[in-house]
Amino acid sequence: MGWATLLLQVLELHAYIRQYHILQGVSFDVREGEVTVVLGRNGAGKTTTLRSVLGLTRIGRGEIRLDGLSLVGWRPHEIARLGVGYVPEDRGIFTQLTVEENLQVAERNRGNLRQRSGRIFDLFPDLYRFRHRRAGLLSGGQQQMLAIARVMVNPNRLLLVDEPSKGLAPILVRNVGEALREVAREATVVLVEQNLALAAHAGDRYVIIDDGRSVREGPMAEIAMDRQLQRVYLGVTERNGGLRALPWARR
Amino acid sequence: MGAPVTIPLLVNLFLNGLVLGTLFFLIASGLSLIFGLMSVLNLAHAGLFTWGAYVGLAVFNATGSLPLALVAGAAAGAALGAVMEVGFIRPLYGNHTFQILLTLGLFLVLNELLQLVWGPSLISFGVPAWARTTISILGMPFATYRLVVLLLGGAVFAAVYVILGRSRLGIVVRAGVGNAEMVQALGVNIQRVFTVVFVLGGALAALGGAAAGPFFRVVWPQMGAEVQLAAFIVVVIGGLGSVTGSAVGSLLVGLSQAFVGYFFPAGALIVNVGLMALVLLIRPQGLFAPGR
Ligand SMILES: Nc1ncnc2c1ncn2[C@@H]1O[C@H](COP(=O)(O)OP(=O)(O)OP(=O)(O)O)[C@@H](O)[C@H]1O
Ligand SMILES: [Mg+2]
Repeated sequence: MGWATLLLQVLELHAYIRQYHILQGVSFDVREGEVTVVLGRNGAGKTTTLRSVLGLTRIGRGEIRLDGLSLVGWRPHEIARLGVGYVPEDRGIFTQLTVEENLQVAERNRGNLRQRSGRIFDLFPDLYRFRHRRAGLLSGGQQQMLAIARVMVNPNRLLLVDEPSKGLAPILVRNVGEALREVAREATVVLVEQNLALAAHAGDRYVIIDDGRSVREGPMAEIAMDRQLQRVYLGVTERNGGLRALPWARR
Repeated sequence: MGAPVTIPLLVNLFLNGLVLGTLFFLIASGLSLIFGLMSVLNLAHAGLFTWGAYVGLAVFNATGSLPLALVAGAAAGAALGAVMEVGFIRPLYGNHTFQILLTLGLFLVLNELLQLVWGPSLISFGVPAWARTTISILGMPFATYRLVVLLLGGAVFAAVYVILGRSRLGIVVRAGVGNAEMVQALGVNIQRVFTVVFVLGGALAALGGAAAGPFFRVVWPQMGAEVQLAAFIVVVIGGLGSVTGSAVGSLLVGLSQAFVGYFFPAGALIVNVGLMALVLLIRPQGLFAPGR
C-alpha cells in the first residue's frame, strides 16, 4: 500500500491566547481519509489546537500544512473555504436563527445546500421537523446534530470536531457516533473526544496532547490496550470506567 | 400653557412625535446593528447625521431637488461610514477603551471639519413650496413634508427588515450578531460584512440628517449631538442589535419627546431617561431580542 497521503501536518506549533503561551510544541500528522482522535486532559490544549488549524488563534511558531499548503497567516474564512469544516466545542449554534437559517449561513457556494439538504434531513429527521424553529429552542442533542449538519452543507476535505458527545445522554452519544461515521465517509476528520469508548470506536489514530505539547501518537488500537498510557495522560482509571468501555474498540 | 388642548393639537403633536421617532430610528438602527455585530459603541455615528444634513442642504441649494438632497446626504454618510470603518475602527476591534476614545475623537473631528466648510452658525433650509403645504385628511390639516418623512421612514424600516430577514447578507448579519467568530469559521469574510454594515448604518444616519434639515427648516453643527443621546436611549430600550427594537423604541422616545416637550418642556429628557431606566430594570436586554 505504501504511505498514506498526509492531509494535515502540524509541526512544532506554538499558539497564544492573549499573552498566554498555550501551545508549546504540538506536532501530529493526519492521514487522508482517516479519523484522528485528539486526546488529553481538561485544559491540555485540544481545543486550542483545532482553533489554530482554522486560524482562530494567534500562532507564534510552527507550521500547519493542509495538503502541503501552509495555512499560517491565512484568515479563518479563507481556511474554511479550502474545505475545512468546524464543529466547535460549544456547538456555535446561532440561537436567534432558525434551523434552516443556521444551515444557510454555512453555505459556502450557492446551490450546496439545496443539493445536500436531502441527505442532511434524512440523517437528522428532527432538524427537518424543526427547520423553521429558532435553533435556541432545540434540545442540546438536537443542537449538536445541527452543528454536525452544518458542516455537511458543503463538501469538505477536513473536518475539525470538538467533543461532540460532551454533555449528552448516552443514547444521544450513540446518535452522534453514527452521525460522525456518516460525515467521516467523505472527509478526513480530526476529532477531539474525551469519551474513550466513542474515540476508540470512531478513531483510526490518536494523538495525545498534554500541557500544551503533543506527547504521543499512534494507531488507536495501541491506546486501547495501554492502561499505563490512559492513566498517565488521560486520567482514566478502572474506577471511572474508561477501561470497561474499551471492548467496544473495533481493532 | 394657555392654549386649549384641541384634537388638531394632539394630532399634530402625535405626528411630530412620529417624525422625531423616524429621525431617531434612522440613527439608532445603524448604531444598534454596529453595536450588536461588532460590539463597537460608535460615538461618531451622530456626526454622520449632521454631515448628511449639511450635504443635503448644499445639494438642495445647488439643484433645488429635495430627493436629490436626500440621496446625496445618504451617499455622503455611506462614504464616511466606509472611511471610518476601514481607516480607523478596523484595527481596534475588541479593544473597547480605545474604540470609545477613537470614536469620540472622530466625532469631534467630523464636527470641526464640518464647521471649517460651513461655519459654526446655523443655516436656514429654504424648503421648496410643496414642502410647506398641508394636505387635509379627514378634515384635518397635515404638513406634507412630515408625511413624506414618515413614508420614507416606513419604507426604510421595511427595506431593512426584509434585507435582514430574507437576504443572505441579512442572515449573515444576524448570525454575526450572535457569534461573529463562528460566522467566520463557516467561511464568511466577516470583515467585509462589518464594512457593509458601517456603510449602510452611515447612509441611514446621514439620510436622517438630510431629512431633518427641511423638517427643522434649519441645520446647525450640534444637531447630531442633540439627537445622539435620544438614539442611545432608543438602542437601550429597543435591545442592542434589534432593528425592530430600534423602530419601536424610536417611536416611543419620539412621541414622549413631542408630548412631554410640549406640555412640560423641561421634562422631555427626564422622561426618556426614566423610560430607559425602567426598561433596564425590568428587561435589561431591551424590549426585543437581537436579530431583526
Ligand atoms: N480565553 C482564554 N484565556 C486564557 N486562557 C485560556 C483561554 N482559553 C483557554 N485557555 C487556557 O488554555 C489551555 C488550553 O485550553 P483548551 O481549551 O485548548 O483545552 P482543552 O484541552 O480543549 O480542554 P477541555 O477538555 O476542557 O476542553 C487551558 O489551560 C486554558 O485554561
Ligand atoms: Mg476543549
